[in-house]
Amino acid sequence: MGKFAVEVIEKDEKTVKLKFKGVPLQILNALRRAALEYVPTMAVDLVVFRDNTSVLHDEIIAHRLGLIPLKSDEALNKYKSPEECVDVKPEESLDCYAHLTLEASTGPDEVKDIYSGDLKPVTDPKVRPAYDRIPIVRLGPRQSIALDAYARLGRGVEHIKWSPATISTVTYLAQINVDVSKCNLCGKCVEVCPREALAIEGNVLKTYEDRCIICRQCVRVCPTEAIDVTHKEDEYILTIESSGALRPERIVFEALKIVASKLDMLLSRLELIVKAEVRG
Amino acid sequence: MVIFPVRCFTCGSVIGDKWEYFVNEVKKGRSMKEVLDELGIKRYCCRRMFISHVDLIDELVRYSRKV
Repeated sequence: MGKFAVEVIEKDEKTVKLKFKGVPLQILNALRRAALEYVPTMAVDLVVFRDNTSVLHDEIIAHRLGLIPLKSDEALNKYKSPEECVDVKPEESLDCYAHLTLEASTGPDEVKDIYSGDLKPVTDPKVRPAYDRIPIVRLGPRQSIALDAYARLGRGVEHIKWSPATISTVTYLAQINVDVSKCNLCGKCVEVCPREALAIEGNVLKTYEDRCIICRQCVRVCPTEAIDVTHKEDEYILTIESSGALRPERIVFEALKIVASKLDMLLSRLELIVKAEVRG
Repeated sequence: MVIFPVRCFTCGSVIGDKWEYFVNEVKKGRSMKEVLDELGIKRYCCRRMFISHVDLIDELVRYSRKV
């Protein structure tokens, strides 16, 4: 691989947008998929109900608990991988499972919402809900709920609740070519563009390629065939939106590590086969 | 649905924590579009979760199950 460059286009608490130049699309796609399916996070996987007189069934509440993202930045280094925890009992192992608990009840005339913030960590204070205000259930008068939830590391391939990324996309960058000798500045392309990527400024048709979504409406409408829209050969944008379990940049790093380790594994397997053939 | 979903059915983005604010603001008379834009709900899969939801849990909440 030759020269390549990475540029951060956008970054905040939830999303990161990176522009890659010189990195093959296949590698970026592997990265994108690893972010969705292979980067582990913590999520509630087993719920033991001690009491539930609310109007929602145990299963529905357990499902809602599973979907609540738990903070996993520290947990990634602390807990064992999903493969190592297959036969482990949740109550027994502190290396595999984090224990959380939820207890609430209401008085005779009370109606109360129970939020994800009421889900309290027992064994590990760092594994806690990423959002405090997700409603879990609404309790009516004289209703109660008490449960133990056990969270473990898992991957998006097993269940989407473990996926750290809600959005993970690789997109092309637009390239707009205007043939100045053919363009008669009729303005039809400007009119039809849904993203204001084209504008007539003075005596030229100005292009804003970063706004273009390559819908090619302008190409279709141009009477003199002066405009053509393609994508840049060697530039792509990777966008990752975090569920809140991991910081978005952490997702990119972890995904990259996973892709690299998978390639190493492939290489070592191939070497074994080649050696065996030489000997045989 | 009985209670507002934790995540968007289509993209999996967490939306549960924003429901209460959305309802309260819309009840005050603000337009749904304005509130959703303020909350940063960009995609139409997530936006329809808010716009189309009917909270039914209040109809049920006063009836306890026998345990």
